[in-house]
Amino acid sequence: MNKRKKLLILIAKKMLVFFVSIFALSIIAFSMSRIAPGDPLVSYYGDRAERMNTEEREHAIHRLGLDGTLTDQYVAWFKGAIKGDFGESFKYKENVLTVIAGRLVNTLLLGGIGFLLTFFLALLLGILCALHEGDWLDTLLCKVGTITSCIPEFWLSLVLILIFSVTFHLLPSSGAFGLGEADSILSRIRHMILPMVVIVLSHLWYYAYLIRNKLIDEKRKEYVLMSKSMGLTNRQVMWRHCVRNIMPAFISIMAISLNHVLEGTYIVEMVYSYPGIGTLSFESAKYHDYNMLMVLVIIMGVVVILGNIIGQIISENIDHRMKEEAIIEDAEVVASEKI
Amino acid sequence: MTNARDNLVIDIENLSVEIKTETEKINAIRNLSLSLRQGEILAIVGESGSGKTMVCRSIMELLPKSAKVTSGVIKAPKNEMAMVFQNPMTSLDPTMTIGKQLSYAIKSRNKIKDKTEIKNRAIELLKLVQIDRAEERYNQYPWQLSGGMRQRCVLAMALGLEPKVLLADEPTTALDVTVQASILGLISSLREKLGLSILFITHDLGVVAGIADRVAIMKAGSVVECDTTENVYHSPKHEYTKELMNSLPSNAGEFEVKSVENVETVLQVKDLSHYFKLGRKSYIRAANNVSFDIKHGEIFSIVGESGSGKSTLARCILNMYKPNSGEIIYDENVVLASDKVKMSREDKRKVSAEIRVISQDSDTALNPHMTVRQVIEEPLLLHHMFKTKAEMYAYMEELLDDVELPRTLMDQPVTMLSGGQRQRVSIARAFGSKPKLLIADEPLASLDVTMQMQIVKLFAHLIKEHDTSMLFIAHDLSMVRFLSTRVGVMYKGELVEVGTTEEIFNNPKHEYTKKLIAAMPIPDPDIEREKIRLFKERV
Amino acid sequence: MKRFKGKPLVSAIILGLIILGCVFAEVIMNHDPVYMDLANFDKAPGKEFFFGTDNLGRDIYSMIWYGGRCSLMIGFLATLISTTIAVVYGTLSGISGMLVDDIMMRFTEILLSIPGILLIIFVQAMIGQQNILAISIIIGVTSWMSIAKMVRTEVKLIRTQEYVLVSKQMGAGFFHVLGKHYFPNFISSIMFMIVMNVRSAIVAESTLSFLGLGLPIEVISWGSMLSLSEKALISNAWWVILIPGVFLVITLMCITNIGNYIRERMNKGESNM
Repeated sequence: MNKRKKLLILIAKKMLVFFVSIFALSIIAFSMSRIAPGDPLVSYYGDRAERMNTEEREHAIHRLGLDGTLTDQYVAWFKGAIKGDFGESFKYKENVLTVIAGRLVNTLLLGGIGFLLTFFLALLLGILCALHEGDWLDTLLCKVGTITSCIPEFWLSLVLILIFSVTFHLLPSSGAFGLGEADSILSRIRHMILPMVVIVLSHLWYYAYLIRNKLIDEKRKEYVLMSKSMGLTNRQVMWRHCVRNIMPAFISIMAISLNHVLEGTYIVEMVYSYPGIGTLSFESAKYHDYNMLMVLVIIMGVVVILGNIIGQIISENIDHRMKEEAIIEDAEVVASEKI
Repeated sequence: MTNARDNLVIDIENLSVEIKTETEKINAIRNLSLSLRQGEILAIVGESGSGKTMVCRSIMELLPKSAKVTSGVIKAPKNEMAMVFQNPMTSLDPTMTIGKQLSYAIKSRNKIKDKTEIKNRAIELLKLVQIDRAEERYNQYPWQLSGGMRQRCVLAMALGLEPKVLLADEPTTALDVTVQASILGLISSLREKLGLSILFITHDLGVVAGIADRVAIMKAGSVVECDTTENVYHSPKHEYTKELMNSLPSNAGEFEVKSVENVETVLQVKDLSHYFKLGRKSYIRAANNVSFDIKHGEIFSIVGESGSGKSTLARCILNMYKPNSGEIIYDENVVLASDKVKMSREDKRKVSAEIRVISQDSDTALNPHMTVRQVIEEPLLLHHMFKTKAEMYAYMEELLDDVELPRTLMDQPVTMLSGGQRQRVSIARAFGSKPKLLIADEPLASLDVTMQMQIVKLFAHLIKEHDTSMLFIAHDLSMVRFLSTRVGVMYKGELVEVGTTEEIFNNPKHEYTKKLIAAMPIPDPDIEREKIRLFKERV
Repeated sequence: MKRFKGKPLVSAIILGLIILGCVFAEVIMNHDPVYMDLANFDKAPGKEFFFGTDNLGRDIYSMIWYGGRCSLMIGFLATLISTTIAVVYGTLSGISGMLVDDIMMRFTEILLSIPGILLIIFVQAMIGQQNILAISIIIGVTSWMSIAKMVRTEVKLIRTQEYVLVSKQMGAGFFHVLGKHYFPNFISSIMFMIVMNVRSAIVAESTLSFLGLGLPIEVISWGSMLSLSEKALISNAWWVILIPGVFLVITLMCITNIGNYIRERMNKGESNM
């Protein structure tokens, strides 16, 4: 009972942190986007905005909810947002959620699969390197890895397009699917290969190296010697003990690196003109499509802050174990009393 | 002669091991020959860096990659050996239950497949190493057990391999004295029950006096002396063995103790209590109604095992923790810590000039980015003790002489110094500003035996010379006995007994003091063997 | 020879050469980098134009050295800005009480949760200028967070170290402890991050300029040179894409190697005994 209560309190606390963070994020995004110079009317009315007279202008501003002080505007936006009404996109002249819904799947596919693939490969690579620590294989992988981690995403994308699309005509260079092939899975996969390779390659080594170092630290611990003295091979010790023991840290790293991988996805989407929320974010920031931008930033915030909280819970639990250890130390005398 | 050879379970001949670092090659073991006879306990004793662990690792074929056997033969029954490691906190996998780890151990050499059979064997082993409530422990994680318990589990795992030879690398070093005594008794009785041959590695001559049949003394990678325990302890032959024996406080003769009657009181602790909050309603009483006083010119020691609250006490005196009740009075009128009064600015100044700390860990006690000079001059500058730099530097050089460090070290970064040298720098810093009271919290814990003795002698000398008083906090009873004027014994947050060193060691009154003193390892085989015999009778 | 063992000598030399080449660009250039020679656009590398020309007829060989100045300058300037912010912010947070520290760290976490490139676009839109100083400031004020977190952790850690406690007990005031103990210790542990920050600032500049949000085409940098690559893809002018990119990647690699060396040296220094 007590344990359940503790859990409920913990969840409530984390929820509070979550909502406060999202709220703060929305304020920051709101004020930042509106302080920025530039005319949002242009994105709604296009060239027409420049030919408007004062009266028309005022009318348009009112229509888009851009009059009043910044606070008033925010309150208005917030009221709508609670009801699930995030407004209309200035550029697409549709409800923002409708526009985003169409694109979110594309990003989730690309970013999600890329994310999982990156970490799966990073784990394998990290284990491989840790097993061969100091060998030629480890040294080679470290060298190659460092090189790949130095290549900017956009340039890698360009080079891949140059090789696979322009020179050999093997793979498409842009879009999420061919013309009129929205339902063809094959077409989608073909379009996804190059962006996916970029996402995985540009993040892989960073995490593989982290995991490698964590495993190497783990290898230095005494229980490894203990297990080896019982006749286990290096490989067995690695899988049975070391990998298991870094799992909490691994998941925690995964959780907090969501935004890192997301950022990569955004850039890749831009280069490959991939219709996801990455390209949409750039467009809306560039064209002052406020309503769109707010929702995009908040979606991002939800994903990333959620990831952070998960990471925190995991590392706090590890901490908890440490704390308990300290208490046991204190109680040592009590335990050894019966001599 | 042939007969004797047949009796050997481990036979090492002319072993040399080389360790390659980035810059140089170190001969960790040089031409070492050693043998372990059937059924005996052979102790290898040496200070850190003597290569004793390397011997153990070479036998188990667990040498690190950087180490290479350059010559020699090791004959050992590879599949009939098991090893126990120093630190029970790290030698168990923290994320796996005791039971599961034990099962792995049992499965790895036995042909038992049946799950309940394995579990029964595991519980049997836990009982063999005298763990109570074995069925319950089977499902617990290492972090739920105390250090002593864990070491018993490690022993159980080693025994799960059904070994004929047990290698134990400092198995009791990380444990408290009373726990250590019980583990030693356990090892000794296991030898008889299971007919084990045991190689026991340690740095502490006191620990093995009771259980070892033979002792090998190691220095710089080779065995300098190897003989029966009696011969080594009573008539050492090699110079180094003699030096080791003389570093033991019990062999160093008595230190001249100053009389402390009719002198002023430097520090007075009155009914001090400090609690740590655990949960909403539970507390740990780290210090409970502690009262004592320190007179001018004396060395007052507080002994106790880990968790007894002795460090909490020191931190309260240093004003790092605020006590929950009681007060600490310095120099008869300055209230150092109390639950009510706050210190005035003037008092703070006085205290910061007159009280000095020497801390436990010589690694973190000095800022790694400073040179020796910068460390020592810090308090001198803070309290503007000198008018000119030249004067100050001259004084600092004298200080280095005082702590027996060469003056050439003055501009070395502290990271270049050895552990003992750092502790000396720390002492020079403390004595530099001519303190009235020194508080030393386990200042010897991280040092080798010979180094400990030197530092203790240095303390004794400097205290006399500078006319200061000292609060010495330690867990090592033999050093306390050698150095202190009066001793206080702490147990579970309470000061259970205070008396002169004579009284405490020769005529302890409190039950716990008696137990503590009885558990204190004494480097005399006759006394220790008697203790082990008594222990076995009781179990 | 032994003295240089394990040190990133090759990286340091290459980086040195690139920096020298950029500083003394006027000496090595054989064409005017900004001159648009419309008769010679999209020329492949050859005797006249070592690295070819882009589709505006500019000589890439000259542009590499001339534009490198911009890229490197932005890298260093942005790092200077972000490090300054990070050190001040991190130290303040580390020595503040629980509540203030919590709020300050929460704020950095929120900023960190916005993908860097989006944050840069925000600030870019706010400043609205596209010159070297503006881009440096934009990159600087959006990339201090992780260093600040590191500084704070270090400060928190150092705060509980024995030597700080001893120093305080000896009567040392706040500024004494700050200058003698905090700074020397955390500077060495964030050095690696500072070097890596130079790297990510250069990447950020090139990415931004490539996306058309950073420096305009007229202001030559490695990034703005690459912003022409979409046209180069159509005309299959591989040199326009590959050559500036290779220079960029080599520079980044040298910086990374130097950074890794600093990190390893730091780790060794700690476990000396």
